[in-house]
This record gives sequence, C-alpha cells and structure tokens, in this order.
Amino acid sequence: MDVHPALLLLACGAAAGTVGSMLGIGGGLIVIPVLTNLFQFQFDQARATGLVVVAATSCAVAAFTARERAGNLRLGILLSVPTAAVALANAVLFYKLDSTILFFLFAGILVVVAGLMWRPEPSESDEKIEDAVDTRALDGFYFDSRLGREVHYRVKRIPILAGVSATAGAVSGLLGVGGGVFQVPAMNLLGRVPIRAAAATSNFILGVTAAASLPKYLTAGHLRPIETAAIVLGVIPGAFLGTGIARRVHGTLLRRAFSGVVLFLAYTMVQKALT
Amino acid sequence: MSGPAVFKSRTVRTKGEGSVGRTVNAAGVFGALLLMVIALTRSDSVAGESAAYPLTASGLADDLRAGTPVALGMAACLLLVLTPVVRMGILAVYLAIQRRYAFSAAAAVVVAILAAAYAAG
Repeated sequence: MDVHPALLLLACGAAAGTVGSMLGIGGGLIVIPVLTNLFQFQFDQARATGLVVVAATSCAVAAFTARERAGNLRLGILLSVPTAAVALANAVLFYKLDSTILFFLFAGILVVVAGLMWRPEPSESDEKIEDAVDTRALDGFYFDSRLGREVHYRVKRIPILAGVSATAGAVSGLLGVGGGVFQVPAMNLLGRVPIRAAAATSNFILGVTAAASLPKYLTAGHLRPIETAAIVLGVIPGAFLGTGIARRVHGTLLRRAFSGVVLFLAYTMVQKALT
Repeated sequence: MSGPAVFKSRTVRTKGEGSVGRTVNAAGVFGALLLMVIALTRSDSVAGESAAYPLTASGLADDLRAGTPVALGMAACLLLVLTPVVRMGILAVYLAIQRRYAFSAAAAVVVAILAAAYAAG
C-alpha cells in the first residue's frame, strides 16, 4: 500500500467527517472535488464514494451523539419518508427541467439561506419559555454540555419540512450535493429546531438518502472500494472531532460556519451553470 | 421573537430509541472498519487499484471467498451503507413495541422503499 495517497485520502476523509458531522451536511461536498481533482476520479465514482462517506458520517454521528440524544429520531424518521421516496423516484420532475436554470435557481436560494443563517442563534434568554400542557410526539430534547442541562424544543411547520425534505432528495440526485444544505436551514429556521439538533437529525436522514441512492452506482461499478476504505477510516475520527466541536461552540458560530459552506456551494453551482 | 421555543415540560421521547441506534451503529461501524483495515493492509496500491467493480451478489461472494482486497473493501462499504437501513428497521420494531404505531409505520415505509431500491438495483 502506498503511504502517501493513503494519508491524503485519510486526511480528506477526516476533513469531510469533521465538517459533515458538525454542520449536518454529510461530507460529500468536500470529498467529491478532492477526488475528481487530485485522484482523477470520474464524477460518478466520486459521487459513489461521497455517498459512502455520508453513510459513515451518519453512523458516526449517531454513535457519538447517542448519549446526549442530539438527533431527533422521530423527526428524522418522519422526514426520511419523502426524502427516500423522491430519491427512489429519481427526481423525475427535476430531470425535465433545464439544469442550467436549476443551478441558478438553487444558487439563488442558497444565497438567501446563507443570509438567513448568518443571523445569531437566539440565546436562551431570548427564547420563548412555555409551560406546555400537552406534549407532542415530535418534541425533542438534548443535553447541552455548554449550558449543563437539557434543552427541550417543539418542532413547528412539519408539512413544510416534509416538502423541503422531498425537494432536498431530488436536488441531491440532480446536482450531486447533499440534501443537508436544505434540511438543516429548514429545520432550524422554519421548524425552530436548535442548530445542533438540526445537524444531528439531518445526518440521520442523510444516511437513509445515501443508502437509497447508492444501488445504481454499485451495479454500474462506479464505487472504488479501496480508496473509499481509506477515506472512511479518516471520516470516523473526523466525525468524533466534529461532534466534539459542535458540542462546545455556540449555535451562532455553527450557523455562520454553515452560512460560509452554503455560500461556497452557491459559488460552485454558478460556476457549473456557466461552464 | 424568533428561535427555538424551550419547554419546561417533559417530552414524550423515550431514552430507549437512542440506545437502539447506538448498539446497531457500534456493530455496523466496527465491522466495516475492521474489513476496511484488512482490505487496505492486503492491498498493494491505494490509488487506481479498484477502477471498476460492478457489484453482483454471486461475484462478491466468490471474491470474498478468495479474500481479494477489493471484495473486502466492497463488503465493508455495503455493511456501512446498510447500517442506517438496519437501524431504521430495528427502530420500526422498537416503536411498534412502544405503541408508537405512526412512527413505526413511517420507519417501515422507509425500509420498504430502500429494499425496493436494492431489489431494483
């Protein structure tokens, strides 16, 4: 085994695992350009590896955040239904549209999302404290080690979140990006789910999306297992680091990091549309 | 005023859901990582070795019996990707036992969709 490329792939996996687990975007966004530019992967091969990286990040985040219960499993299950269904339907509606228009459209949406996510995460004193008489099945909580106590929240606008999840599944198939860039802002801004819980829940959903999208790449022989193995061995410690960082930093910093990544993605979409 | 609302009341989510996920994940991830380490140590070269490997069940079984690094790596990737699916299936059963039938049904639908995807693939 050559040490140099293996170490490079490990480092790439570690970066993808760190960013993906911290922000709930899986990690394909980092892996795909590295593989296509440095390792001469074809786009489909890089996408297949990206999907395995997303699954690895999903598993790692679930393992590393299980004790504090950051992910809202019930919300994740509910939103997985439209996401997986659309992934299986292979985004028929979107394939009928001109991809250049879609790239511009989604780049525009992402710029707006980046602007909204730049705003500070409301501090605890700004949050609306309510005595909820009734508890709802989708209510969630997680242990915030920074605050030293459990944070409870109520999920809002669930039908809209389901619609965004379906769109995220379609966009993921068409544009080759993780649906997390849509899921996390939707849960955080529309569903009022705290950013840490939104990121962990998004990673849960992305694991399912990756599993639904991968079969066609496997049967076509696009997955390169040795290189993928080297990357995944970096993803796991990267995800450990990413969940540790997310646990310690303020939600505002996470939101702004997410904003930066989304702006970068919007830029790459405009580039693709123009070439 | 915007932002997440914080409730003083106890939420209805049970702690067992997290434990189920943790156990399934630990087994899946550990098994996959073990296979990946074996595949990498048996492989002579990382970059460019596994250019194309169209997956078939019989082909993978034959190659696994021969212990080729590419087959081991492929089996590890499959194990890793299927772990969230198995986790979802176990959650469906767990939620049914907890009488959370709507969530159990949703999880079962997701597993059925994924099974259809793999059957079609």
